[in-house]
Amino acid sequence: MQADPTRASEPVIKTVGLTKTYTDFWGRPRVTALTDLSLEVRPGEVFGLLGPNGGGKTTTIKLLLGLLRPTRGDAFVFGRDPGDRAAKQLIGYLPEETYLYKFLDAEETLAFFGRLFDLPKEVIRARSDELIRLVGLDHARKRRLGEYSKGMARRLGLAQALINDPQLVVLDEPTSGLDPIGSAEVKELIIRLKQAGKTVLLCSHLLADVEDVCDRIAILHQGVLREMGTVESLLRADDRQLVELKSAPPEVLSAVSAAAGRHLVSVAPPRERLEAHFRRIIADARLSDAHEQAPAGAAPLATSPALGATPKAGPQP
Amino acid sequence: MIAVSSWRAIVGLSVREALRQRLWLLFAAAAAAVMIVGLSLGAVDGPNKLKLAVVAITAAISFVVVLLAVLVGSGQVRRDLDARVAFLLFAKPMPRLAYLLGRWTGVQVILLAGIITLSLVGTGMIWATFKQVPVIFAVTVPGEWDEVSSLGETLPIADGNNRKALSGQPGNGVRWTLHGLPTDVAAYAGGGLDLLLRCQVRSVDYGLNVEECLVQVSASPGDKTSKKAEKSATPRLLAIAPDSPYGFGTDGATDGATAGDGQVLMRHRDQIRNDYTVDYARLKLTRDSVSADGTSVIQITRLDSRAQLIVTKTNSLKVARPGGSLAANLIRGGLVLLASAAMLTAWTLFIGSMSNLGVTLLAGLTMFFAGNALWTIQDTLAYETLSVPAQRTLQLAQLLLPDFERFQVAANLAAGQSITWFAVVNAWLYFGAYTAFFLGLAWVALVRKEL
Repeated sequence: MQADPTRASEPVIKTVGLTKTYTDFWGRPRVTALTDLSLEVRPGEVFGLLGPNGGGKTTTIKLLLGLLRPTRGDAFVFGRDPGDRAAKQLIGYLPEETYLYKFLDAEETLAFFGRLFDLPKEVIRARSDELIRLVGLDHARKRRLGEYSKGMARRLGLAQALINDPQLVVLDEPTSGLDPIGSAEVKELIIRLKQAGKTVLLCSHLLADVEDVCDRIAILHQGVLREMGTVESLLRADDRQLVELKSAPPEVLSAVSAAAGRHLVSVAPPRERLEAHFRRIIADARLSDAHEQAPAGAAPLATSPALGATPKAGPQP
Repeated sequence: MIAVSSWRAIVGLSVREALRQRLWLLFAAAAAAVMIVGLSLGAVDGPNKLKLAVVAITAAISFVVVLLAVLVGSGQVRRDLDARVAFLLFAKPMPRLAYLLGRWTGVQVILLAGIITLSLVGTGMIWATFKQVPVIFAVTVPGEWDEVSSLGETLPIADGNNRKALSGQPGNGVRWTLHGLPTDVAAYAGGGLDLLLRCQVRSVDYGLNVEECLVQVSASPGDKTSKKAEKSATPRLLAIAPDSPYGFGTDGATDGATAGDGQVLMRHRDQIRNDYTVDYARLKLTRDSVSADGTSVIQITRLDSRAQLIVTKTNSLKVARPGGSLAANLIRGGLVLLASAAMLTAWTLFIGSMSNLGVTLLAGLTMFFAGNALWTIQDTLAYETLSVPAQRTLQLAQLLLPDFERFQVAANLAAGQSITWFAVVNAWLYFGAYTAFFLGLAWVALVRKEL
C-alpha cells in the first residue's frame, strides 16, 4: 500500500505543535530541542530548514523519520505516522554525517540499501549504475568506503538516499564535506529533483545553499520556529530598488545620480558572488583541459541523463 | 515481502562483514591448534589417545563457537548504534525485528561455517594421525524392565525405580524390553546388532573381593502390547561379539573363571564409566530375537552366587547400531553447541542494544561462565550454614540460568556415543526458549530506543 504523494490537497509533511524534550535515564526532562513546530511541506516543493547549530533541525528530521518519538504534537509524512513503513518506502534520507559501512564498496552499499526497500535485483543493478555515475564515483565503484575521502563518501550517501527513487528526499547538510564544485552539483541535483516532481526537505546552516534552491524556508532557533515563507518574500527589501546598467559612461552615471538625488544609496559595479566566480574559473579550466585530454569517464552530478535536462548554470547577480 | 528482504540483506551484511574482517583467521588458528594437538598425540601412549583427539576437536569447536558468539554478537548491534549507521538503517522501511533477526542469523551462519570447517579438519587430522576413526554408536535403550526370580517368576519393578541389586540364590535376573529395533534383515548383517551390557559387580560377602560375575544372556521376540516375550518364542542365548572388550573370561580373570558357551563373564563397571567401546561387553542380537514390530525381550540371568549384580533400567543394556561417521557426529555435536551459542548471541544482542561494547562483552562472558558453573551453585546449596536469602538467591539462579553442561557433546563423542538429531532438536528447544526470550527483550529495547 503506497500513499499518493501527488495529491495536492495533502501535504507531504505536516507537523502540528510538534515538541521534543530529551529526558535522562530516569525520564526527567533534560533539554527541549523543539517547541510547538507547526508547518506543512507541499508536494514538489523544496523546503529549507534553516538554523544555527542546536536549532532543532536534525531533531525535526528525526521526528519526521520516526527515529524519535514526539513529546507532544503530531507529525505526518504522506498523511501517515512517521514510523509507518509505507511512508518510509517513499523517503530517501541523507543524514548529516555519512554513516555507511566501511567494509563495503559503492556497488555493495547501494545493493544493500536497495534490498532494504525490497527492490528487484535488476532494478537495484540499474539504479546503482545510474546513481554511481550521477554522483561521479564511477572510477571508485569497486573501492571500499574505508578508502573514500569524506567528499566521496558524502556523494555515495547521496546516492543511497536516491536508490528507491523516493518521492520525498530529506537532506541533512547535504553539502557538508563537499568541495565547492561538489556543493554546486548537489544544489543542481536538488533543482533537478524538484523538476522531476520530488519533494525535498533541505536542512542546512549554509544560507547560500538554501537561498539558491529552496522555494520556502523555515528558520528555527533554539527549537522555536522564528520565520517561515518563500525565499523571495523573506529576502525582498521593498524599500530599495536596483537599477542595472551595462558599460555606462561617467556622464550617464552622473545623470542617473543627479536624477536619483537624495534617494541614491551607492553607485558601484555589481559584485559577482564568490561561489559563482569560483565555479566559472573551474569550468573554464576544465574546458581548457578537455581540449588537451581525452574526455573523463565520470559525468558530474548535473549532467547525468537520470534526472532530465541540466539547468543552465552560470554567474548570478 | 520487505521484512524477509531486509532480513536477508542484514544476514548477508553480517557474513560479509565477518569475511572482510578476516574472522576466518580465528577458524584457521583453531584448525591449526587441532592439527598440532593431533600431531603431539602421536607421542601419547595407550588406547585413549584417539579419545583425546576427539575431545580436543570438540573442545576446539566449543571454544571457537562460544568465543565467536560473544565477540561477534557483542559488536553486531552495538557498533551500528555507536557508528550511527542505525540512524540510516532505521530510517528505511526495514522492521527492527528483521534487523535483529538478520544480525542473529548472520552470526549463526558464521558459526556454522566454523563448525563444519573444524569438524572436517578434525576428522582429517584423526585419519592422518591414527589411520582410523573412532567407532560411533547410536543406541536404543529399554522401555520397560522386570525382575525375574530364581524360580522363573516375573516380579514387576516399581515405576521410578531405576536401579536393581541382584543377589541371593543364583538363577535370578532382570528382563528388559526394547522397542523400535530395526526389522529389516540387512541391519543385522555381520552376525546381528551389537548388544551392549554393563553392570556393577560386588561381592555378596564383604570379606571377598569379587569383581566378576558369570551371567547368561538370552533374547526372544517381544510382544509390543504385553511387554512380555511372545508365547511361542523360545529364548535364544546370545553370543559374545568377537570384538567385545571383555566377557570371555579368558583374559586375566581374577578368579580364573571362564565363560562357557552362552555365558558372559561380566566385569565391574561403575555408573560413571560410559564408554561404549571399552566399558560395555558386546554381544550379538540376531534378527530372530526381534519381533515383526521391532520388539525384543532380553534377559540377563545371574549364575554366580558370590557376586551381587547391580543394574539400571536404561544404562546397563543398550542395543547399538552404527552411529554415522565421525565428521557427521562432530557436525551434529557442533549444532548442539551452536544452540548454546545462539542463546549467547541473543543475550549479547540484547545487552548490546542497551549498553556499550565493554559491558556487552562482559555480560556475554559472564553468562557463559555462570552457565558453566551451575554445579558450584549446587555444591554451595548443599552447605547447611547458608542463610535463607542466599539460599533463595542461589535457587533462583539455578532455576533461571541456562545450563551449558546439559548436553555433554565432548564426553559423549569420546565415549563413542553418537550425537543424534534428537539431541540436536532437544538442545535447540532448551536453549531456543532462552534465545527467543532474549531476542524478544532486544527487540523491545530497540523499538523503544530513540536514535
